[in-house]
Parts: sequence; structure tokens; C-alpha cells
Amino acid sequence: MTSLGRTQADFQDFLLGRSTSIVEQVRGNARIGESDLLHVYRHGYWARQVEALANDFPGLCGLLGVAAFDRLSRDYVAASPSRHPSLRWLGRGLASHLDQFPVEAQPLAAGMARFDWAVAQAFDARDQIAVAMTDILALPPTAWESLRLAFTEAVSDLVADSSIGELRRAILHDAGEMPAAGEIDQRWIVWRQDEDIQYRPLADDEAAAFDLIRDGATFGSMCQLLSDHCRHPAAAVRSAEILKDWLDRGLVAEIAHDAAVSA
Amino acid sequence: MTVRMSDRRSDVAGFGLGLRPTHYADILAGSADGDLRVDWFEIISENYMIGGGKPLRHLMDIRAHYPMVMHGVSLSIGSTAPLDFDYLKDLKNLAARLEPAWISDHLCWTGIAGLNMHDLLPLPFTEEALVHVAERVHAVQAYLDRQILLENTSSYVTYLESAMPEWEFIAELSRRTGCEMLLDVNNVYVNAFNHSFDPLVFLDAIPRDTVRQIHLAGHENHGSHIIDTHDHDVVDAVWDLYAAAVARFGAVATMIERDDHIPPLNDLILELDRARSIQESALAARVGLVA
Repeated sequence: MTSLGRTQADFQDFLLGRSTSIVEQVRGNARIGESDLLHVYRHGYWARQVEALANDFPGLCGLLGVAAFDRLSRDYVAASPSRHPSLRWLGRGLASHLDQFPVEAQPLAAGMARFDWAVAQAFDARDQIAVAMTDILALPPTAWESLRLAFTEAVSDLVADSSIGELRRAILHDAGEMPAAGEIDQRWIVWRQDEDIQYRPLADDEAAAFDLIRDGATFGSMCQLLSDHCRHPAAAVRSAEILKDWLDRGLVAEIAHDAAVSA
Repeated sequence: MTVRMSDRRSDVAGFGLGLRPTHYADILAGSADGDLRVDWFEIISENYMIGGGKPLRHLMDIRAHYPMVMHGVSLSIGSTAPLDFDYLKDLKNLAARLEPAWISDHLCWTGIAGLNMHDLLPLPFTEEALVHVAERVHAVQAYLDRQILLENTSSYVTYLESAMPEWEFIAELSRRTGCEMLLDVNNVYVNAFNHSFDPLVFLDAIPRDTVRQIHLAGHENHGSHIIDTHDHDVVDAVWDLYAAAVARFGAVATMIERDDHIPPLNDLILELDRARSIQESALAARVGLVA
């Protein structure tokens, strides 16, 4: 390692609280010593990470309170320091960290972390033109069986408490009275329509259909799933209803099928 | 109103502001009225190296009315970690879309061993560091196919191994690489206080044709040291130093950076008016028009 490399390693280790070797390699000024000045950097490092996480996880921060969120953030950053040029990505592992190291408000907290992160993802995901119902209706009838859909990059699904949407809204708008916790394993979908973040709970059959389509299965398979697995009495109608809803809400970015298209 | 994209370096002249989301609506409203006294905007590059959504739309809407420059915080030009070409690719793609007059970053390092501290960490001013940074500046300029600007950063400690003053390091780096300088006048003031040197000595040592842009900002004075916080108005002593910088470097494109406790847009525009006035006086004095 070069001299410059050693210096930088020592400096970084000081920021991370792993070593104090750098103290011997710098000086302060006539008014204040080097150790205190190095702590300006260390304090700045941790404060910046916590602030970035608080910006991306406003629901979780409100749920836990500032002090508990600060502790959680520091634990998380110590375990998963930033590896990306943008702080935008710092929080990508926070929900998993909460699964591993639960806090007092679990399991609500982990669900809120997943929800906050899904919102952050949807906010600045790639702009894509959504497929419209008219695009589907223009397909030949033979295409429906093999129809495959790709969701937009702004679409995320997650598991959280059934009250999570209402709870987050109450926290962000400082509504005072918080809704009571509901079912802990509700499936949610978060997406962006035009420039507005949207979310809603998924019904069990729609969640199963969503998983299947997201994994590349055909619309035909989705109808079959709703018929067999979900024992839906009118599976084809329900499938069409779900599809229409996805299209109306701007969730679908691409369609493909195997049917021959006549010239 | 005519909407145009501008990509000429000469279009970025006069007085600009750092583009911040809290001002998007006021900027667009002011653009429509045509009476916003801001000549150009500087963006934080990393904030727009994203897929899409509102931030990019607002950016391009404002870009349609104003020249822009890109200012990064994660180039890490002084790091001993390998250059991050994924980052540079994203930077180049954003530049292709935005057509900035120039791209700048900081003369610092931000992390090693795959980590990013998201801070502008100081370099020791040694020949070893100079050779290292110069090599990387050459590589970055070749990849981006353009000269870059590097900003002098604030620092709080001095490396015992430093063998030359900061201004000598910067001047020599520019001479070896052709990179230009984003002169942060507040940072010169902060470092002069923290490291006990005469800020005018710093300015006098920087070659006149090196400085392409000037930053002004506020700071927090703790008595024993000053922290570069960008959360206050520019202080009088920094305005005085700015006048000295104008006297030396001329009518360089100047902007005010504000990153915290961000005031309403009009307050910043009033502060920018003060920069206009100081520059005008300093230029007049330079050519002997003031008695």
C-alpha cells in the first residue's frame, strides 16, 4: 500500500470508529487540537448518514421517534456502510437489517421500512410509457393465452401491516391519533402513476396473480391459477378485471405474446 | 417565451445559484414571468443520476430556460481506490442529456476499499498525492472528453507529511493536467482561519487564467475553528475576499451555495445582488474607474 493509501485507510478507519492512528499524522491549530478536529469529520460522517436515512424513511422515523431512529440508523450504517456514490441507495438494506435485528415496534417497523423504501424507489424510477387497455384490445384474440406483461420499474410489492398506508399517512401529516395495528402480513403494491406515488393493498388472489406475472408467466397461466389454486368461480372474468385494473393504474410497461400477427 | 437549450461555455457567465428542489416552483414561475435575476444554475450531479420521475422532469424544465453547470461530490479524484467507471458513465450520460457548460467536482477523496464516506476528505499536499491525482485527472478528462473543474475544499486538520501549501498543490495540478479551478472563496477563508495563513497569499498564487467559476457560501464559526456548513448567509469577511478575488481573476461566473436552512429564493437572489454589486465595484476599481 502506498503512503497515501495508508493515510486514507487510517483516516477512514477513524471515521468508522475502528482506529485512531490518523491522530498521530495530523495537527490542529493553536486554538484546538487535532483530535477534536478529527471528531468534526467523524460527527459529520454519522450525522450525514442518519439524515439521509431519515429523508428516505420518514414513516419509520416517525414511527420509532427521532432517538430510536438515530440508534437504528447508526447500527445499520455500522453494519452496512455506504458503497454507492449516492446516498440515495444507503437505505436499501434497512428493512432486511430490521428483520435480522428487530426493534421495539416490530413487526410494524420492518413493514414500514419496506413501505418507505418502495415509495423512495417509485419516486425516481425510470420514466416508462404505460401500456393502455387499447393496446391490449388491439391484440388478436389468439394472443391472450400467451400474453406476458412486464411491470414498470416503479412498481414494488411488499408485506406489511394492513394499516401501514393509513399509519404512514397519519405520521407524515402529523395527524395526532394513530390507527390501530391490523393484520401483520398484508401484501401491498406501491407504484408511480404519472408523477404521483400510489399504493394499495392486494387481495390474496391478485397477489398470487401478481407474483406469477412478475415471474414471467402468461395471462393464460394466470387464469388457470385463479381457477385451480384460488378456486375462483369466474376465473376468466376475475383475471380480466385484475388486468384492466393494472392497465388503468399504469402498472404495465411492456407486453409480448407468441401469437402470429397477420400482415 | 422562447425555450432553448444552451451548451456554450460562454453562456455561463454572471451570477448563478445552486438548484435546490425547494425552489423548483418559484424558479419556473419566475422563468415564465421573465424577471428572475439568476443567470444560470448549478446542480449537484449525483441528485440527478437517477432513472426519472419529478426530479429529472423539473431539472429539464428549468434547463430549458437556463444554462447549467454540473457539480459532483463523489468523483473522489484523490482516492487511492480505482476510478469508478460506472459512476463516470452515469455522469457522462447525465451530461449528454443536460449539456452543461462544464462539470466540476472537488479536490478531495471520499472513500476507499469500496466505501463512500460522503464527505470531502482532505488530501496531504505531497508530491506523491500530486502525481496520483494528476494521473486520475488525465484519465477522467479523457473519459469525459472534456476538461473538468476542481474545487478547493474546506479542511480542519493539516497532515504532518504535507510538503507544500494548498495553493501550490492546486496551481501545480492545474499546470500538469489542464484542469481548471472552481474557486470556493468561502473555503479559502475557512482554511485560512483553520490553518492560519493569509487568504490573499492563496489567491495570489493561483494563476489568473485557471479560475472558471467562483463559489460563495456561509459557514459556522466556532471560535477555535470554522466549519463549512452552507447554512448561513455569506459573511462580510468572505465578501471582502470575494472582492479581492474579482480584482485578481476578473468577472468570473459566480454563484451562492446553500445546502441547509435554505431561505426563500428571493432572499438568495438578494444575496446574489450583493455579489453583482461587489463584482462591479471590484472591476471598476481594477480599471481605475473609482477615484
